[in-house]
Amino acid sequence: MNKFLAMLKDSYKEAVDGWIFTVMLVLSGVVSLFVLSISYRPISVEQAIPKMLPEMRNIGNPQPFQMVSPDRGASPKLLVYQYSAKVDEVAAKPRGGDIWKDEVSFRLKIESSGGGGIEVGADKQPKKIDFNAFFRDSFTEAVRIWAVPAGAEKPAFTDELAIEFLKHQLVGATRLDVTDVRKIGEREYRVTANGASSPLAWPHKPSLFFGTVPLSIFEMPLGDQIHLVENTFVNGIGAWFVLMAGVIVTAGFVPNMLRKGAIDLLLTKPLARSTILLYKYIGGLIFVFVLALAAYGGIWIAIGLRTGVWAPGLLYCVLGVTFYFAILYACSTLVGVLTRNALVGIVVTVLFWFVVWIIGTVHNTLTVLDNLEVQGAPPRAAKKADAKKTEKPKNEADEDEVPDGPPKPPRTLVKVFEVLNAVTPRTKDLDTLTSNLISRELLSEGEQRREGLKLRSIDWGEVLGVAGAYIAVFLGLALLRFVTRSY
Amino acid sequence: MPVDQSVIATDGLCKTYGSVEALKGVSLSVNRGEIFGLLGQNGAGKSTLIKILLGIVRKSDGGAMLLGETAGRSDIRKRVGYLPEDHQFPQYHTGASLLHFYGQLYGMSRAERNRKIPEVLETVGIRKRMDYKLRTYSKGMKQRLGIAQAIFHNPDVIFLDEPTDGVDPVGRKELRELFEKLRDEGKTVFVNSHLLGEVELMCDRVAILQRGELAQIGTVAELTKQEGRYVIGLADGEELPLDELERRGLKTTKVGDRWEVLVPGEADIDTIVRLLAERGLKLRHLVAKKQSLEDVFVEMVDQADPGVDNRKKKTREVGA
Repeated sequence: MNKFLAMLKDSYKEAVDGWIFTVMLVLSGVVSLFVLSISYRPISVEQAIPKMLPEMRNIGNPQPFQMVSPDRGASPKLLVYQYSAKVDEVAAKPRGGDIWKDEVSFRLKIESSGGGGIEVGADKQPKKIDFNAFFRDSFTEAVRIWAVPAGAEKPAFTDELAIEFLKHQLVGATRLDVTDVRKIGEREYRVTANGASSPLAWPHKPSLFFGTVPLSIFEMPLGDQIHLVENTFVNGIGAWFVLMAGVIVTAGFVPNMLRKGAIDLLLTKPLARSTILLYKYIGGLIFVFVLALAAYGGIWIAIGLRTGVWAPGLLYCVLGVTFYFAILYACSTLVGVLTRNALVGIVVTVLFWFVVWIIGTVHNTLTVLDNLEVQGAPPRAAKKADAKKTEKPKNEADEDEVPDGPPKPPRTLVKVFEVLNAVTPRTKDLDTLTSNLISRELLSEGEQRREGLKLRSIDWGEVLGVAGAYIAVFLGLALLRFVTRSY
Repeated sequence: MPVDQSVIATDGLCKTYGSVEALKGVSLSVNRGEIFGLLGQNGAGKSTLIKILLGIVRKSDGGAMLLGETAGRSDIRKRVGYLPEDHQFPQYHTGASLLHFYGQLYGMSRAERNRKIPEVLETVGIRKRMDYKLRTYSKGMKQRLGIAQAIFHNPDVIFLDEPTDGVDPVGRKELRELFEKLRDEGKTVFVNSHLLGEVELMCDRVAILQRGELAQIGTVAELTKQEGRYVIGLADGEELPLDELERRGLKTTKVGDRWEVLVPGEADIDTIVRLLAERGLKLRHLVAKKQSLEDVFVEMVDQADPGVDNRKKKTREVGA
């Protein structure tokens, strides 16, 4: 144990000796102070409710309210419907205490227009898609799809079903504690709620530098704002910096140790060679763990102090980032032992990182495209165009016809990337894991779906197993070379 | 020399790097409590021999024993100190922190390290700099630190590769005295050096490696022994009676303004002195010539096939 601590301390001294570690720590401190300067103020009920149900119609950024899973939300299938919800006549009945706990009521008007069509280009691929073209009413379709159990027939649309659907969607999308939904007109409903279930669901107005620079553009639920900082800036950009700094700093650990005149001194100490290399490897991991802990921990504390939200998800991500780095550092260690060159180690490791990232990204994209069904968009537009003569006019399409999603990616391509993804470390899945850790405490169920976190199930045992196998193989080869080589 | 008394023993030790034979069946032994010098040209195999004994390099064939155990075992290394040539200490350490690090690897307790580190740094003369980063150390100071790290855990055998490299003359003398003190304490000091004068001054026995083979081994006295060779100098303008000396079977060589005379075993230098007196020549210089270790080494290198890094032949003048 004493020897292990000595090696760790030595690795620590080596790491902190360089300027990168200092720069990273200073950068973490500056970012933490910046985050500490952000103030969050809950906005009024009248302003808040419409912001909880934004009318985004962009298919590339569907809102949780428009995302539907069949079987009353139990199905893993995710469908996007292009109806919109307009909110007005918002009234609040203060209950004393926090504004987000006030009783609220508002009118919800569903708009679900039809019309439009599909324009097919010369290459017979869809050029322009109007997603409402295939339904007279996408809201009706959404309600029926939501209510249908797996393998059963779609039930008929009823007002009672629509109310149940709206309650479910509102709770999932906004985390409002909905107590009542009543029909007050054609596609018009009166919604009553006992405020939000959490301050995280309530839109807040952020201001920089202790309130001096208001950021009205970011008026959205507090959970979304924290999620933006934690997931996008810290766990996205920040993690990239930590990993890159880790790769650069630690790439020199093994080559420096193997320099002539340095390795002789180490090999003549009463330590097995395998122990020396493993201790050096663990030293690198601890370096990144400390760096990530400083970066993530500082921001976590700053957010906690300013919002009162102490969701530990961000802290768990420190372990995720360290495990991610363990894969990269195993590669770097192997290259370091083989070449004794830090620069080659950095280049090969970054290349390896890039390749597995590309494989994961393409695989995920293909999987999403392969599974996502966007109602209203014909998948085989060309086929439909070819068969135009035999089909009914679009505005007379059968209401029960359920078109498939947009054009599917080629099966061969999907299979190739499934295999590649299966046999390489799934770093994209690790990203998803860490994102999940952050999101599950900050976002609503619907918001998490919007983030694409539950579009497909991930077998974590398999993900960690494959990554662990890579670490074992890289380190095993490095050890084999290190133990048998004459220096 | 019986092998069972030795702390270092090799038997037909061979090492090949691809097609290059670095060691060709080297057999030697070193006893407890002696300072042993290993000489040889660059590429002769000296460092390879030490590295095999320490387990840094794997042997190809033959045997190597250290402290009675097969060389290279990690548990034996606790009893061994080593100063490599061109050592590179991590620059982020201070002198003290480096010794703390190595001390921990040797399993020394904190109390023991706290006691021994200042002591040993005082011994090698750099205690005042113990808390400075190594990047501020001069070459000589790093060399002293290297010796400190090789001896501070109280090893039984100390391997020193060019131990006085970069150290000033006063420091060299101090280090020589330190090595002799270690020998007197029963430690074995194995020195690998190009500074033949240093080796001659401090080593009890010396081995010379030539192209991976053991060319000579013995005490310094045995290696430098040269019977019947004298250097004679006369008064200005006077000449040695070379004809007479040749007639008496004495071989002479003029070296500068003096003569080197090889006297056969039974002949007496007094005969020559008497002859010079009879001729009225004034004797101004007469010394029995002793061969230095450097002479032995260079002569051997000149005679042998060149090593990997062949030395240039040089013309030497024999001085008084």
